[in-house]
Amino acid sequence: MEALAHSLFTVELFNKLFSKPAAALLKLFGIPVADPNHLFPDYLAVCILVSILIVLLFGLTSRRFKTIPSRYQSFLETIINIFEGQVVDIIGEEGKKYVPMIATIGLFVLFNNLIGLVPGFMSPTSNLNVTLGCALTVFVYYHWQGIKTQGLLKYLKHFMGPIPLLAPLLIPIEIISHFSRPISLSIRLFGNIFAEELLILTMISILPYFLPLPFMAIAIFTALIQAFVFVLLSCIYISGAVAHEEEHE
Amino acid sequence: MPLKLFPGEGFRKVAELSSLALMLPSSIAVGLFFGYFLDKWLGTHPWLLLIFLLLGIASGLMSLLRGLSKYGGPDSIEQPEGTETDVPENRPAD
Repeated sequence: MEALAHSLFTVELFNKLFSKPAAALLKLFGIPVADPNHLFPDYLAVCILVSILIVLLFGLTSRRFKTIPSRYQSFLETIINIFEGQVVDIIGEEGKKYVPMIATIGLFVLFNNLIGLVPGFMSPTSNLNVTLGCALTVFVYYHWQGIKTQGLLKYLKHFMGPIPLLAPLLIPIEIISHFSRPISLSIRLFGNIFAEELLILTMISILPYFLPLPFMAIAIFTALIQAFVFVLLSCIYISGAVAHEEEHE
Repeated sequence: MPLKLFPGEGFRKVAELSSLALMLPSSIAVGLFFGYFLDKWLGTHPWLLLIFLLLGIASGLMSLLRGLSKYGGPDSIEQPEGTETDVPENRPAD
């Protein structure tokens, strides 16, 4: 964490191992590479490591589920149950088919937030590119689900509002409000995590090892809350896209 | 059985309401962005920028009010006895 401004040793190691093959692969597709020795910026390297960690923790266990769960399996089931409870709470029973997507995004954001507290890593979510990627995934996903459940025409009709006369005015307003969702979603997550990292870094520069401890404890809470808010808003957006017309008066 | 990470309605409300804070600026930013690039594309500087800025402000207000309306208007806020009269008195005179 002290090395946030410089390059982290984990990132250095990652670059040493994978940078040259990846650069060679990019060259094969005709994409110019500026520095083949440092191809991966820190957030990208940590992001890939986090993804591998999640796959190891969750993906491989789900391959060999048992009827009588082990201690580890019931722990994982509890985590998935939390996401399921959240989705059912907002979308309803028919929302259970969205749990895989919501849980994946939620876990990705949560792990990316929390990994910043481990020495030698940084939070990839303190970079706007990562959060915008997550937010755009949610954006595309909820529109796609809306079109899938309601049909294209009926979904587009949703944008016109209740009064046909006001439609020319309401369509651009609705489009802008839909495009503002990924922006606000990504900037909120980025802002919170970036501020948290910066605060801890500042505290380290004042008094190393001791002063940042209370802030790091708060950072655990912030990381949880921000992942929760991200999941909550994704659920609200999906439920808004999938819901039928009776919501309008 | 589905579990809840943060039990109770209050926490969900806090999370939902805190999300409204960014609604207004991001809508305005998206409106400006659209206007700017449409202007560049169609060469109608500066009219579309202004129109889309206004549309962005309208859309931000609309989604803000829509988000707030879930929590009801002033009628739904329960006021303790005797406190209703405080509000008009505290208002500064024009």
